[in-house]
Amino acid sequence: MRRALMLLGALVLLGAVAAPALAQVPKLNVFLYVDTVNGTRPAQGTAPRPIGCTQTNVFKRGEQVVFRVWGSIAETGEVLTTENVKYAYVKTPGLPNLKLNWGAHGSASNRVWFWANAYLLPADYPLGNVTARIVFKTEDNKFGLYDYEMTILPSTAKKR
Amino acid sequence: MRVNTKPRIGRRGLSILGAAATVLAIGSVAAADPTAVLAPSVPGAPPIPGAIVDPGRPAENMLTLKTTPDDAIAGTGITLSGTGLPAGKDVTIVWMTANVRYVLDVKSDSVDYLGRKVDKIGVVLATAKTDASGAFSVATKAPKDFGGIHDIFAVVDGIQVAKGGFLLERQVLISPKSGPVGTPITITVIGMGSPTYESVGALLWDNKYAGAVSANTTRGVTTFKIRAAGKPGVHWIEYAGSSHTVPYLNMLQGPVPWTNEHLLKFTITEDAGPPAPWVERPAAVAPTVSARTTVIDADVAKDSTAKLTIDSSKGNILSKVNVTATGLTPNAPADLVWSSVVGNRVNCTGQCWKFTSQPLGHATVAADGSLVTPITIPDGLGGWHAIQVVQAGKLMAQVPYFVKRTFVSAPKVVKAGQPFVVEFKGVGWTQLDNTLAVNYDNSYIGYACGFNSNGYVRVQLVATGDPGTHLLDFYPLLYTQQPAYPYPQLGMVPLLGFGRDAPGLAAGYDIPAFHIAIKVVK
Repeated sequence: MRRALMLLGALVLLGAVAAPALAQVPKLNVFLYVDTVNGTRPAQGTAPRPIGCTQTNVFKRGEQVVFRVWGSIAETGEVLTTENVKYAYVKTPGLPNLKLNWGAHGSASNRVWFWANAYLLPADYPLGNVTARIVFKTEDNKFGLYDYEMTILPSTAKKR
Repeated sequence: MRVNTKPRIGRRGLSILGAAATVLAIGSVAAADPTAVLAPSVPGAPPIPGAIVDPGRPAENMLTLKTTPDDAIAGTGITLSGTGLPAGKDVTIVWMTANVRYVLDVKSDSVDYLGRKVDKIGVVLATAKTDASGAFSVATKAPKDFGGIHDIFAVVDGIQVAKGGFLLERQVLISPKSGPVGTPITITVIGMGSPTYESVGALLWDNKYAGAVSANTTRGVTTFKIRAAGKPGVHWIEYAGSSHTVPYLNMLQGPVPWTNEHLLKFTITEDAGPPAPWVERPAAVAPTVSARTTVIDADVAKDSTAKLTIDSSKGNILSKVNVTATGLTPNAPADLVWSSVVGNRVNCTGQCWKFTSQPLGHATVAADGSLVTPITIPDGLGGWHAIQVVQAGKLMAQVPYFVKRTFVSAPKVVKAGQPFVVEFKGVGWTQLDNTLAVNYDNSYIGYACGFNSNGYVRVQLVATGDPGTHLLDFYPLLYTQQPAYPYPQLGMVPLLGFGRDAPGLAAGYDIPAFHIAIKVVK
């Protein structure tokens, strides 16, 4: 898992996609599970955490936010994969949309498939709470949305 | 250091009956009704930093604001700017913050403390207008407000079109920075937070726990005092982040690392002997809660038009109070009665205390229906009590009176290793006032309760440490047991910031701290 997520770090910001207008929330018929972990490749000058790839929703500027998503179609229970998903991305204020990629993660003997990609939080990204929206659309026009809240902290604590 | 606590006999028309048998048992226990009480107006507390406003709803495509700087102390000049917004539009800069109130259950037979209620609000920090390109920039100052991260929104036509943030850093200042043993040290904190894990400060003196501090009803700003304890030399004050009472020692790994410890140095210059004893009273504020223990309006006879007034509404045990009643049945006897409770909270299951009524005196009402007489406040429990006038078994009128907590005695010199006793009277019975917390040389060592002993507390202590001056501080404590409620902060420890932020201030509880000292000898 860790090695796979380290690879994700190299994919940062490569997955920008155009966002469809979502002024009106469509009928939702896709189940999503979303979490985030800290990536092991923060921006230069940002200290990596002692342990990488741990679940958290609190990030410092310069850290790598890795989104992980699992999903299924509500009606059939069919797992969301590249076989049935038209597009999947994360939309975060002030950041380009982040395309989610379907892939296997973890060691060879314990591989897990899920959707993932990562942001590097810019050094001037606004502090405080931010809501990222995860958007899925299937080939047969089913939608899944999930609003995921994170807290952004300064890169280092001030010396007092 | 001893006050006269011998009961005295009243004169002029009333024969005070002292601690005679209970003659009346009026009243019933009110149902529990926890209420977030309006914060009293504490002098010097900062106001809400802007007009409260609807913060709007998030835009579908929210942008970000630039805040420069975005991590600073209150009063710092900041610039907020945005681009790519709707052109030529009025922009409201909304600063997200909170109002915090304490939650009390003020019942007729007690007051329970249930914690805090935080209401998130948005206030107008500034206004601006976007130019033809959709850009704006506005300069303002970081407000004196609760500390921590504040979300900031640029709101246009009710929509949050852009989001920024600002970390209002906590400041901790001390004055003076040196002095002899017993020097009062004023500690000022600006930027305590409103969320749970940012709203408590824990104070360590040379790694000894002295107590907890809050600023819930004073918008994150408070001032309190400790005293310099120990031998001449350097000592360290650590104002640590805390969630409830004691320090949270790895705050840097938590989501609110800015509450991490503030470390300040104090130098004790000499031991010039025990400093003078000192009673530290809380800020004088107008209570916002009118309900008082033992005062039950429903118990007053429905056909009574009598009025009762007193010439002072608070005082020590054995205080003389002049009572005036009007509208009584003329030329008929009347009893003046003190309403209190008896019982305790120890191993309490079910009903553990009950109302009592103690005679204050007896007289015949004048032909015009009036009664004017002095009474003596009983030597018993502190806190709020009803003074009542009763005729023909009917409660005609009543008025509340607050019995203050008072210091009685302590030795000045004690041999090392020897036990000694410090006495207090007028200790109450509610969760706000039934207990005092004891610090020995700025180290919290325990508490003492006055309920079972009818307000009289004998704190049993042992003189420890090297020969010289040793400090004893007795702080208010919130007794969060019997009954216990989930998650109340600040319970069971010295409430160092009691003077400006305490749950009891809203309910009229004027509970002081007592600062004394002993000289330990070989």
